[in-house]
Amino acid sequence: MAKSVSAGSLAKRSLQSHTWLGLVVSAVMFLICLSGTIAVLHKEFERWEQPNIPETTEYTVEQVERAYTSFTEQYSDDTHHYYFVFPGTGIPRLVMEDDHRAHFVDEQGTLIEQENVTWSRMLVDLHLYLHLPHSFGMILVSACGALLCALIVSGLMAHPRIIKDAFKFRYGGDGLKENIDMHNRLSVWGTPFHLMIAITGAYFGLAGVFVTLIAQAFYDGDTQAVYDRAFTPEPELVQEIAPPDIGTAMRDLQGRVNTEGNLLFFTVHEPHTPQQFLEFFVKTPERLIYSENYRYDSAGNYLGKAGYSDGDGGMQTLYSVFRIHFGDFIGMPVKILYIVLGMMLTVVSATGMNIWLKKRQTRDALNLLWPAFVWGTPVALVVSALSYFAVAVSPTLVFWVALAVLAGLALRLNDEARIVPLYKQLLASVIALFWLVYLVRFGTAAFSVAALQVNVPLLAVAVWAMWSARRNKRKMMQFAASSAA
Amino acid sequence: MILGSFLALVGSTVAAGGIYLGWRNSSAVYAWLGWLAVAGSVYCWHLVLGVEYGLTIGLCLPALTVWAAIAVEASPQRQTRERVKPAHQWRVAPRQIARQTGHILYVLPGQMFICALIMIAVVYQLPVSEPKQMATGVLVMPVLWGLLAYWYVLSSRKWLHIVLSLGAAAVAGLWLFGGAHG
Repeated sequence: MAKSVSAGSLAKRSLQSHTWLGLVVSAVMFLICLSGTIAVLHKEFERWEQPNIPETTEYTVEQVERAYTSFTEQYSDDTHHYYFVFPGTGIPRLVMEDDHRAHFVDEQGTLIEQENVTWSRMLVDLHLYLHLPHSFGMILVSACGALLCALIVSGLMAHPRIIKDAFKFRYGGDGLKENIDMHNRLSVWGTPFHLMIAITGAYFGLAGVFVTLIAQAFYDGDTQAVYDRAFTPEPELVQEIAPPDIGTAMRDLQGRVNTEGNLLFFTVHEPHTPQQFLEFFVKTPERLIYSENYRYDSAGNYLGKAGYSDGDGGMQTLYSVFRIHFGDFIGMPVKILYIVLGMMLTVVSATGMNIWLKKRQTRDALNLLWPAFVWGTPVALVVSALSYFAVAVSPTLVFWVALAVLAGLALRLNDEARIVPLYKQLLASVIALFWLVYLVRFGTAAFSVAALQVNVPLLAVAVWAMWSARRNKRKMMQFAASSAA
Repeated sequence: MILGSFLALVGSTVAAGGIYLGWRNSSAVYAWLGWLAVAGSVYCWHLVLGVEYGLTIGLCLPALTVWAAIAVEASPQRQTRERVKPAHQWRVAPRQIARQTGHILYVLPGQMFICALIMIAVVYQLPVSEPKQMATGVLVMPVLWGLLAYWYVLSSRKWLHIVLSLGAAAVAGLWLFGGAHG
């Protein structure tokens, strides 16, 4: 939008708007889409980071009580919450934690290794905050959700041949038509998914803005009062200070609802205070709400449920946003669906910028930096995991340094045609090296389900990257030969 | 559930096929039948997985099932040499930089606050419970923001857009913070 959009057809002006909006968010949108797609498997990555932890879906009430007692005796520093995490979350492990640390629990209820999911946390933080300060980063990411809505609307309005071209796909050539058709087919048919992701994604950052404004307007700045209107407020209790009777509460809960495979975790709120209470989060089958929550006082007496399953429709809607956005329902089939659809949206982001670069009448460093960024990001992610497992270097730091180095390399190569196949080969190579590092680091645990369910697909990515790089090079050579002839 | 899901998936695929046949033969009948089949497949998913899961999956699946038809229609383009382009001449244009920065600041933080104010003021007029008002507001807001951003970028009379948006935000802000509400 270097000049005012002239009075032309609506489609032409929409295309100009779409282009401007796309250019503003291109790199950020690509990072958010790619990291979000990979982070669909964040629970699988957490298991993969510590593959040696014994796994089980079974537990007993006594085991949980022992773990809680051991943890609270071992750690006496101030905390507002204790949590016990069950296999219902999708990770077949038991975890006892507070606001500062987390321990896995063995079958005797003994605390074992501390949870350490630094790389998985880096990946999720990249998606939620772009590694920026949290308050600002989440709002920026949410703004991209809103701008994705703008891109969807402007894209549809810019597409007068939307029906005529509905199934068209031209490939090859100089790549321009291939990128255009890929971009249009993926974006048009994916509109319902993209809108859903944009709206639910925007929620996480915009909720804070909303709460602040509503609090200032109606509640004298009291943000907690706003949260208490949107979600069920905490019970007001005055009790003798005593350890919570987890066993009584759990047995009562098991009599009320089917907790088999559905119990996510419980929280002890405000421990060691008269307001202490327990809250059990139980997944509700066939519902997108995160959970229904059951509350108990310190003595294990049932207080009631929060009402997320049958309460106000607005509350149910807000409580469903998480599962819709992250594809955290049904299990692996939906995760695979979200990964495929997420990759499609990632490709839309990448091809959008490709189209702009190919249509430009001139050329500069952007022509090198953009493919380096697109293909360098997965390389940087693997390198960050490699260095973290090898020498425990901060994966966040390594990710950005690796990305900067790959950008510099692309500028040095100064040949767009070489960048994509080279970076695909790099990706295959670093994945192979990562496999080696992982094997050395974890030994036989590298062949556990927790490890293989990530590393086998990773290997498949490496094979694809190598095959694709060779195909790119073969095409280039064939074309060069036919041009010379 | 597995058999039901498989049948629903077949239904989604057949629906995509119907839309494709309609497109291919320029037949409105086939096209309409295809879209009807999409609706039918969503209903099948609802029967298998419940209304919430079924609707989510049923609406997202066409993005995948159409690719079989797109693959059939794929046509190779003759390889051509990419034109050697001249180097882009970057020039420092402070006015352009300031203008573009202004546009970005208006569209990003500016319209965020404008939309938040308008949205809160509007939804709090709705005759529904407060949680429903909040849910409506926070989920519709990105759509409103997106539409306003599109309108602003599209418009050749940006001053009018700014005046109208700021005016609406001012009215909303007055109602929210001026003590006009109960």
